Amino acid sequence: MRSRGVIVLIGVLVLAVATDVAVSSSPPGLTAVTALLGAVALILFSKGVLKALIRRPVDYYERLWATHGPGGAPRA
Amino acid sequence: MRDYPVLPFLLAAALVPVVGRRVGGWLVLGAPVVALAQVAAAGTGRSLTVEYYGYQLTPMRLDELSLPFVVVFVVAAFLAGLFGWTTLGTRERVTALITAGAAVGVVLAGDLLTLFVMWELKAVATTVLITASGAAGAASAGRYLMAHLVGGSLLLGGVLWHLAAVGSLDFGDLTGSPGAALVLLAVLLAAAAPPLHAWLPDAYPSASVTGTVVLAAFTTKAAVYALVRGFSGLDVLVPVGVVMALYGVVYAVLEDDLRRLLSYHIVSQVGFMVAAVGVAGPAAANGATAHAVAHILYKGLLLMGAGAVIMATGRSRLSELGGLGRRMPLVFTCTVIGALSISGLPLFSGFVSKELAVDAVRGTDLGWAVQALKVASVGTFLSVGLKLVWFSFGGPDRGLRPTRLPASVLVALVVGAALNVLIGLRPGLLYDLLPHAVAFQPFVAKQVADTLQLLGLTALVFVWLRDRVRPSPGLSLDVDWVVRGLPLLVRSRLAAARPAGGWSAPVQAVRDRTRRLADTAAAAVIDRVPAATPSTTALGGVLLAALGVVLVRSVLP
Repeated sequence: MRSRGVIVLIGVLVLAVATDVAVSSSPPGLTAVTALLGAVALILFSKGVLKALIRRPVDYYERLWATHGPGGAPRA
Repeated sequence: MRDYPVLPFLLAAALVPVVGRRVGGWLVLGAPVVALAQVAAAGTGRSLTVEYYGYQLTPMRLDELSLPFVVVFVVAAFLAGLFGWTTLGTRERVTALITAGAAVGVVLAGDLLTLFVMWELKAVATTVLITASGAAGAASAGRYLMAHLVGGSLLLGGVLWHLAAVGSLDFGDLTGSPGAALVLLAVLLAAAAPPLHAWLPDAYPSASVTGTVVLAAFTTKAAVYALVRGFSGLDVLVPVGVVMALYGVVYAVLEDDLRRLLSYHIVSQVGFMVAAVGVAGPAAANGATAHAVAHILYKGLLLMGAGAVIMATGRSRLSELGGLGRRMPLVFTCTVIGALSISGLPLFSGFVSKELAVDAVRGTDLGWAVQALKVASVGTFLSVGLKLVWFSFGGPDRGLRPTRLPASVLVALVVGAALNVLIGLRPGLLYDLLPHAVAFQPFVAKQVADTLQLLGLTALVFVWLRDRVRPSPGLSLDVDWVVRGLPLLVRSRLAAARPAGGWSAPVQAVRDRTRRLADTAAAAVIDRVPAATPSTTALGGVLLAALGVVLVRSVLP
């Protein structure tokens, strides 16, 4: 089922790229390259670099308040 | 004044607390219907003016630009009322009505004073709306209120500066006004432009599920209206809009919470509108307006879909959801329609509006902006069209047993979905509402092929890297960490660095040293000038008073 979906998707894509090449005045394939690189870059950047930098536990601010806030235990 | 479309909302808000629950529900639905009838009867060109302390105010100016915003605000208020028919409490009904009325008031305002009053009324009403969800909502509402009080102060400062310089309160093109920078900052804060955006993903998911639908419809879109009205063609808005469009999707790809993900997408989608406003000309105004209208409809639908999932399962994190497609087929179908609309798939509302907005940018020499907006479109489809839909409705069945949803929720979803499909199939319905005549044709081979490439390749990458996109529980730090986290860390560091005897000894030493230096400097000055006489003191006082008068006079007209 999934592989059939991927085949249909690839068929649509081939058709779209062919249409783009036929009718586009801009460099043909620019949109396809933008989409491919954009999608991969977004996933790798968000789930790689950014995740490591900014992702914290769901209760991050509650914990921070408990350990560093007024009445909390200040860290040495 | 009787045909002022703000009045039905405010009147209904006043009546809701004193009538029964059922009648209150009808009032929430009736107010937008009456307002829409008033707008239809009045038509464009209708205005109301009043005299206020020598100033000519225009609380109502229904023209070609305000009309589409008023119509979509009224439709959004109706849909939110329908969605929350059984769940909205009295406080939420009252504040939702005031919010909708104030938003209509903002887009009808023909002068800056009315704009400011409606702007602030909306800020206060939305704050109370957020608090209705309980303790978590109250904390977020506090931060939301602080952000919007800053925005309101900037707006008031800008309006007064504009009044002092121009001598008029008319709300039109503000780009040449000396107070424009302050007004622009206030409007960009309300539009959630980074780094002034953190209030949005903080507050919107903290409201009740219907509260989020109400919030998403009005605040940022009223700001987009103010940008189109006052700052059309301001170059700097193009890069600001592009940054918004990319910033929102980058965070959305990372996000696990359904409503927080969609909140980041508001930042991204409003970025498309802001970028279009930055391009001068009628096509740009059309693009920004069309995308604002479509966005209210599809984002409302998506938030209603997410709200339905939360209501039925009690869970809001994608990492805890999955396999709901078979158990909630109607919610699934409507959410997919919303997701395809926001992704800009041909035959759905987002395609006909987003292409119009991007086309305005495409018509300039800003090729980099067009490519960046394409990447933002990729991120939109990736995070909403694929990630949100797959990990909540598809994927492995987690054994969740959703409770039965009220009929009003399902009806609101179906109506919302129908509107998005209708606009997608008949773009003329949307284009006829726009402020300028539209020559743009959305269904041409180039645009359809472009969009299918963007979405198709994104889908392939999703299939390939799906495990990497899989949501995981957590919180993404945003710029609000500077006010929520940093002060606590600084306080903690200071406490850890505290000297054994406390801070008083070193502080006292610095104070003594400063005092000695000041005494030495003063003695040196006094030695060189003659002693002040009573007459020179009086002259100094008179000069200071004159300076004060000049300053006040330069600010006031």
